[in-house]
Amino acid sequence: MEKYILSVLAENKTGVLSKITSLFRRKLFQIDSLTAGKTADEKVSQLTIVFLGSQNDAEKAAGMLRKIVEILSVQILDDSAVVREIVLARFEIKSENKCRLLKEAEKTVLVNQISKTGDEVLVELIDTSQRIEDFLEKIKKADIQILEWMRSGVIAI
Amino acid sequence: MIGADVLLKSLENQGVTEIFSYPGGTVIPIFDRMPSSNIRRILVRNEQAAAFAAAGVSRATQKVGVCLATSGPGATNLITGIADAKLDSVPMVALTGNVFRSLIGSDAFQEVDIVGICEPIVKHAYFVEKVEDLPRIVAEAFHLAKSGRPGPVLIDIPKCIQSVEISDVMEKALSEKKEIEMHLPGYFHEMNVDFSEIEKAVNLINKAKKPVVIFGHGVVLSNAEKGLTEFLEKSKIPFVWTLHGIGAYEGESDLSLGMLGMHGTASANYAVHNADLIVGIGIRFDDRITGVLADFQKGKKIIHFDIDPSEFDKNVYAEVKICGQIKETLPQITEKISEKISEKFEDWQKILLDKKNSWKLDGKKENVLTEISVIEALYKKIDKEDIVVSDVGQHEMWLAQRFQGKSRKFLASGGLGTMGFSLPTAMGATFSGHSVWSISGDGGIQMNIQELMTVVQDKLPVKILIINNGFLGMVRQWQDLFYDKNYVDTPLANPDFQKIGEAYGIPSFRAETLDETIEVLEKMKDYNDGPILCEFVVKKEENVFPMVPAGKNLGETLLSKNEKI
Repeated sequence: MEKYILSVLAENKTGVLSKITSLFRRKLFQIDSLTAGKTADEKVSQLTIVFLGSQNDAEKAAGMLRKIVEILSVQILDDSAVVREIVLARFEIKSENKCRLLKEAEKTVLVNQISKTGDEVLVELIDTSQRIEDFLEKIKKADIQILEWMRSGVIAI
Repeated sequence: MIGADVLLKSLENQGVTEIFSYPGGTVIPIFDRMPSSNIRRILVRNEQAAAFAAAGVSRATQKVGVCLATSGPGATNLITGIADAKLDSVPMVALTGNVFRSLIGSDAFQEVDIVGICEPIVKHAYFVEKVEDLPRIVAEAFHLAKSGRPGPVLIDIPKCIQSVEISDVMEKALSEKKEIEMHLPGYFHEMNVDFSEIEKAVNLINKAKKPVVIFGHGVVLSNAEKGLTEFLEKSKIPFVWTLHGIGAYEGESDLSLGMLGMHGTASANYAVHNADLIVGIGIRFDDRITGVLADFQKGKKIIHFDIDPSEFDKNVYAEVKICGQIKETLPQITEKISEKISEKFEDWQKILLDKKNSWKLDGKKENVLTEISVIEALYKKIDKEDIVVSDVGQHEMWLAQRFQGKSRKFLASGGLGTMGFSLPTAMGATFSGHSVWSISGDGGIQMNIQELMTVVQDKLPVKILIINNGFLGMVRQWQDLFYDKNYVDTPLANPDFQKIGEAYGIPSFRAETLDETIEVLEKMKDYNDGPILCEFVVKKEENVFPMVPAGKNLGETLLSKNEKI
């Protein structure tokens, strides 16, 4: 199973998102993540879909998306794309050791500590999906308690 | 002027002359205004029939058929007919009423989210938010329905929009038939032809030793019959067709091998199975004609002509993909190929002609009346301009195998295969002005039997044939061949169809022998004063051959239960 990023521009109308997910469901296509938001033009939305499957299937999905009347364009991004995700996470740090391990893990990813209340620390991460996943692995290995872990899904340009 | 008038005026401006409809609470405003419109109303007896009839108009003519239903159960009854049009790429506009805007989403009386429900089975759907949008929506709906790859479009109109008063400005614009600006920035249906693909196609054709052309619905939808004929006659490539390609090539030819597929002719299947090049013109390589896909693809290159780019490489890999209207793209190939290419495949032509002559469709004479003999008698009677509308089942396959008329003269439910298709679709087909023959089995006729009243009340001159073998024939065939004759729920108890026809006020007959059949068909042909009906009592158990069983490839076509090609 590979991942392909579909960058979609669509008219900013209700129901477009529903059409996209409905299409994927009935074709048995899989979505790894889906983000949607406005562009600088308030009449146009942008959606980034991380498609899980073969290249053939990703191209089929793109072709079928283009048939949806409100969709303006669909591109399958290549390796030159800049890809980012945001994570908001809360950890419980009860010992000095755990605190040190967290600081170690933070060296490999773009992270910002938002607040610390008692034993709880709230951080935001902005980086590639791969680096975020590696960070999560390190946290799990260090046996740091994860209270909340929220991923935004990918946007790419 | 109110919203309902806006709708009717917009439809008139699109050239709509008839609507198949059934009233209800949320569409009363429209019905109230209809008598003052030029549009003729045909009152059906089940909304499903309205949808089929609208599609029947589209299938038989070049128009976009229209149906209208009320909200809730009226709208949901349209679903099967809409899905049928979608799968066969038939243009159609379906109108539904809905509850007051303020009640939407509250599970109000007779409220359903028909736009949501129909989403996967329409080309596009509109929910009208304000009456000012209505003229643009109607214009867009018709444009979407008939352009590019045709399909059904739904417009859902809340009752309050139908009864609201419109402004003087709007009234003026409508009566002046002002050009309406559509807003479809994401809709592309005209493609610029890729000339490099044309060159590639010509090269492949020039090199092929065993080429076969498969043509289908796309040729008919694109009005490309003439271009197809020119291509076939110049290239001299042997050819076959799909169910919806029937009639696209008119006439006799040694190179014409018949319909291919699950119940296609043996020589057509043999040709496609053994070909080294397939030229697919306006087809979608669906499972009824390919058999096992891996085997279909093996050992051959494919050139695919289609207007919908998402069809390319969907089922089969096409080495050359030519996107666009076949009417425009195919002539470019015809122009570039040499007249001499057939010298390369003369042996192939000879082999196929040989197969065509040795594997003929069965026509054994029997002492009892059979479905095939009824069908052959029918085909001897009909004229060139007559339209045959089949229902779904064994009779459909026999009708398809033997039809020899033009395009848009054989109507069938291909993709969805809906029983109950024939009678209501035939109602729509009568608006072509030609004679229409509706053939159904005893199972299918009962699915929309209530429409016998519609054809009487509205004097629609459908010639109704009910072929009664006392079985759900096609399913019985599968149970016979693959399930040890375990006939579960396929034997059908039936009413006296002749009496039913008479009860509806239709001149009705029954035929039980070939002589009676020929006599009654003559009567039906000459009768043009409204509908006429005949029940044909035929041999109970007969199987359609050739047949490609599910999970097999075209090379494993069965000529009979125990005989392969």
